[in-house]
Amino acid sequence: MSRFPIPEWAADIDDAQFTDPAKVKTRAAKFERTIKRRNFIEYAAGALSFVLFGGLAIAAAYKGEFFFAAPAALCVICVGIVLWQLNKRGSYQPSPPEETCLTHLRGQYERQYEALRTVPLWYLGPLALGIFGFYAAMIVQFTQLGGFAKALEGTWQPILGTAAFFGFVWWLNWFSAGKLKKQIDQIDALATD
Amino acid sequence: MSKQTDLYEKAGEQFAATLARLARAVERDAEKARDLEQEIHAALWSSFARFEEQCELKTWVYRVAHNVAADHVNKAAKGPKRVPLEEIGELPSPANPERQTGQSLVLQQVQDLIRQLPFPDSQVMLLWLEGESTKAIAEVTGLSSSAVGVRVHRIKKLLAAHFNTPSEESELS
Repeated sequence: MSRFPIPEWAADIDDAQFTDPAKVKTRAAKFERTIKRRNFIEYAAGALSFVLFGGLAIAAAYKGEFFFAAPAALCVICVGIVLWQLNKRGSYQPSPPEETCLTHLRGQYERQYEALRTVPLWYLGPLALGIFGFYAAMIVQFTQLGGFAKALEGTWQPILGTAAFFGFVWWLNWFSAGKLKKQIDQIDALATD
Repeated sequence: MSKQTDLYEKAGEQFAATLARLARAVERDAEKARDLEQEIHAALWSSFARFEEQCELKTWVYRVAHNVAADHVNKAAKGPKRVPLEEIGELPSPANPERQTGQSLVLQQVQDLIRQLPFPDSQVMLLWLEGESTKAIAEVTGLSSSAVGVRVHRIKKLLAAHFNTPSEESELS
């Protein structure tokens, strides 16, 4: 029998009981439904993006505007890559809760660390490819109308702004990943004598 | 009765109060604490499908409960700033001395301290409060015995000035 170092600690609770097994089963089923609903919303958003960009690509190609059709098609591919990676990296992957607390915590941190560290590869990269593809198409079209200098004049600011935004998001993820790595190293140090 | 249900009921008889204390210590809001308690029960019930006596039932129950509680805290949008044991000089003042007539000031202060501690310090403290040995705490948390010992020593030192806690020699071998 356990001996309590602070008697008040044990005196607080005298009527605790485990939840009825039938209710516990219902709760587990409800949790699974919530995960399914979240996954459905992600896929629905992806499907909408496919329809929008795919429609744009087809419409542009039909009109013969291949400079716009190409980046729109690229965006369809990029959205596909991002959704696939989001599903692969961010979907609920329960680690067994019966692991030791340090292993469990390390597992959670490691998964988040890997996702953040590789954001430029699986998130920013594909998105940037699609967005800068649109800018390139605009520049090519404006160059045909009024020359390269004129084309740049109207587009350099949004291009620079977009690049700065992507740079900031990359830095933020890199910084957060660094903090997580420190926590992982601390956990590793705690597990050994 | 299935083995899973059997284990669940056995754990319920032995650890219901322990897990209720755990939930109330990590979650200040009474309703959320009750919800967390049920979440722990659900996780335990599911986990017993995998229990093949890899460890003691107590170790299994503690691990599941503490990991679910840690995930609950990590999911919370914003909690209090966490301060490790080595940086805490004294117990926090009770947030609301008149919070509950049935709850002692001592308990409030201990719970407030637990909520301030980062993992795994808070887990060590909770297990120590349950009267668990250094070896048992190490098995649950995965910390080395010496790391547990250092933390338990700090906890005792911190509490000694306030409460009548057992001496170093008389426990926790």
